Amino acid sequence: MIPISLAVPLAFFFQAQPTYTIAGTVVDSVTGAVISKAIVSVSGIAAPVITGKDGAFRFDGLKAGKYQLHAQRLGYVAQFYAQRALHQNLTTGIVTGEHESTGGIVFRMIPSAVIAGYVRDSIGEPVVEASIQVIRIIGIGRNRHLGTVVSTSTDDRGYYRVRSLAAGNYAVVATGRGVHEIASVQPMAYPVTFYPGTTDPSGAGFIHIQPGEEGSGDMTVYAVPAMRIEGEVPSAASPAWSGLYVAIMAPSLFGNRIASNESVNVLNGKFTIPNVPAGKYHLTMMRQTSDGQSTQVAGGADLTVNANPSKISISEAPQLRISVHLAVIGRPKFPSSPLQAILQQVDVAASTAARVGADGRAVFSGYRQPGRYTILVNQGRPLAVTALKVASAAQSGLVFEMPETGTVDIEAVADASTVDVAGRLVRGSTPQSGVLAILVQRDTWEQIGIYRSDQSDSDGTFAWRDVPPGEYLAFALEDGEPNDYDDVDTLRALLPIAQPLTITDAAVQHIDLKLLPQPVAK
Amino acid sequence: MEAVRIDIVDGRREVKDNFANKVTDDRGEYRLWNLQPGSYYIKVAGRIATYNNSANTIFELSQDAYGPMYYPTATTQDTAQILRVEPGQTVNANFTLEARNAYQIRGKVSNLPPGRPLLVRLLRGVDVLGNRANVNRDAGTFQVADVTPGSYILQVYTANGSPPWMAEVPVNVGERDLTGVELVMAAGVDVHGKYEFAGDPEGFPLLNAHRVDSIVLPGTSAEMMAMMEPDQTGFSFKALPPGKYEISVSGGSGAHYVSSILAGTTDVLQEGLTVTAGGAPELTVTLAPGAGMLAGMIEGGAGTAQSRDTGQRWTLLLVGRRGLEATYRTEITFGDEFGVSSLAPGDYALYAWPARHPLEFRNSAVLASLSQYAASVKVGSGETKEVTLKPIPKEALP
Repeated sequence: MIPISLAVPLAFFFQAQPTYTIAGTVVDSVTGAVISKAIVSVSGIAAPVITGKDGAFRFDGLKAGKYQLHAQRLGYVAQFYAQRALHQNLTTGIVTGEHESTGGIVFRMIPSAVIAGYVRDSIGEPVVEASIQVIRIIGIGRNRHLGTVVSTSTDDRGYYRVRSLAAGNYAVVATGRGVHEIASVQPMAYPVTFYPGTTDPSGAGFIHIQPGEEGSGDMTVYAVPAMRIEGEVPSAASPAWSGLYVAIMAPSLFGNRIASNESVNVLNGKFTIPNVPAGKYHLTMMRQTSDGQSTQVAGGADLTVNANPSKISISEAPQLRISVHLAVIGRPKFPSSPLQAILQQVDVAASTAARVGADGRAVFSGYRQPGRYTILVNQGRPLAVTALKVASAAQSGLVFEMPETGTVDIEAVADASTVDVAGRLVRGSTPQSGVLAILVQRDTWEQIGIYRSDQSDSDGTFAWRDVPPGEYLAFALEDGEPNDYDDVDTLRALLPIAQPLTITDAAVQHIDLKLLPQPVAK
Repeated sequence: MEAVRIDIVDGRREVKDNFANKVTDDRGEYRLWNLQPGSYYIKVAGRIATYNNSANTIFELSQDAYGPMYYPTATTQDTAQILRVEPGQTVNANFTLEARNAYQIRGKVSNLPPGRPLLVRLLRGVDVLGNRANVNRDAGTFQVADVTPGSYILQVYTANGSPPWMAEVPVNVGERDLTGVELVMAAGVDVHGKYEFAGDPEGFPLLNAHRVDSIVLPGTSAEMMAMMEPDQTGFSFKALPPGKYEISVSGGSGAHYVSSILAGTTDVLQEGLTVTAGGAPELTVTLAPGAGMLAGMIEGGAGTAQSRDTGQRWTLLLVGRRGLEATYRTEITFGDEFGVSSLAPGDYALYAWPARHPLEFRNSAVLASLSQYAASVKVGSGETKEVTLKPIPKEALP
């Protein structure tokens, strides 16, 4: 018999831990109709559930904690619960526990959308086996860049169809110099063409599709004479040069070039590129080193192909050397990870990384496009750059103008001490789930943009990880995705609802972020 | 969706599975284009994985499946409709499918050939079913999904390289997953043979082996020709996968004919050749003197002889008999005159038709429909027979 004095503690020890349930219904986010045969899974649980005709799912026996709910089904984009930006992992976690209500979840699945169309030539004939790229456009304003690319080709009717797309904006490009080479007395070919039918990317149209919609992507491509490019690289005429090649690229869209996947070797200082559709191109000269890496050795040249042959001379660019001396303060979270300095071009999504040596230096050499740059630092996680001093280049804050040649010495300070910020999103005093919590640096948001973002979970909580101490502005936003706000003008318009925050060096901090009415757009 | 092309090769209907394929789009539509004119079955082959998830997760879920089904509603080729596609034509072939519960087949395969990638597939008769399947070489396990209840042949085979290795086993799937299926792989075997003859044949016939009990493995051929030994005393078939084969002969010297082909005591010309993983008995091809010969002319439709300068090519078919089995021999003639040597003495039925027309003459029903156009001839030992033959009219050819 167990003594009474021990019975109570033992009884407590053997008492079953409470378990909880996540249950709900999967519905179509557009029509609200229940969805059967959806595969629903919960993180950490091995066996997924397939919904029946009532769209219902149920997971019992869960411990208290936070879970990610995921659903997939043919005809719908595979997604996490309340996922906004389907190319980012921002979701609303389901929190189980005492006082948490998780039995009536409505999982709104976003129907996948379609872009389809006919590609025809100038006389309305179908263009067969044209290579088509359907490219998602991410962000707004000058922060727009290219996202996921889906490739397909046209059939015998010139028809293409791309399905399983998330809602959003898309560019459609008929790519490849050999899109459809046409046999004729004068060799003809179709150039890289942007929907609805222009070779000028500034005139490209974009197709906006809502969930479940079918966007029309009919386009016209115009055959142009195919010509030969004959080029020379005077500095590489010596047989000692090797590994040099020229890559031809079509005009860029948001700074991202649509590659023509064509490159030719430079032999004895000369190169030839046949069957190039008339138009504007950018040629870059690259060198492949013995370890298989390729580096750009010239700024390249813009060439308008309008003669047969079209001649061009490319010179190796004057040497540019950027030396970054980095001092790291604070204790890095991942000290065994390599320390990297990243040369980031501010106006386009282009960056180069170089490892920081034991002497605290990272060197970038070779050609760099003119423009505005900044330095980022990474050691397993991004570190906050708190100071930047640039010699031999114009500087504004943490951004500097890249010169064409010479040496640029940069002194940079990065703060490795970061803290985790745990927050709760409230309207009044009521927790709000599925709301965006965005953090920007108070003094550098115009250059850096959004610094951290998260989406509140079912209990209103959110987290920003690895935030260096400093002054910040925070925003709570009900609609859209972070990329919708990663724009100077958009953020400036939201300043009236910015909530100032001071992040200290305490290891963990808690904040309450208020959901305020957004200013009405003018 | 698959287009299964139907060709007539050496009198046999041969189907090229997966001649063209496309996946239905979100509307359930498909378009198989750039097809060569000809005859096709259209098949719903199965379902591909369309979920953004690992294959293992998909395999863990038992779901519904469709097909395979041939247009319009047939489950086998025997009852399927053949679609004839003419140049420039578009043919509509709509399907209505009924979802059925689908299950999995799981098992182990042993005696794997070192370093060779493996594939697994499910067959139903001559149908290759488009199931999602994978083989884990390291564990020696395999998994086949999307299996509706029924009887099948499960095959595991080498994806490429030589010699081909394979294993197959019949399976029956009920209303539940089938587990514990075991297969042992074996390589193709060499089958050797020799010639026995009296006198001086002045030449030896070529032997062909045609697989008759199953569809051919990808990367292999339905027809395998024997290779002559360097000293020409014998021959061998290289790397024949286990199975049953029909052996045919062609060529040889004019004075001798093939009187028998034995595999041990088995008359191969009547019963076929059975190859197992352990091999097959040595083949003995007996050449006997006293071959007969047929010489003759093919008449034009108007009863007059065709000009030898027209360049017309004819297929000449000789149908003989060996025991209960028919034997077939074809010759292509240039112009209207022909000569066929190395004939075994016996009775033959002769047919002729334009060489470019593929005729399924090994189909007894097809030949029966053309019996009125056959010429009968008896060839004695060492005899040369003269014969004049009228060709099958174009309008009578199926």
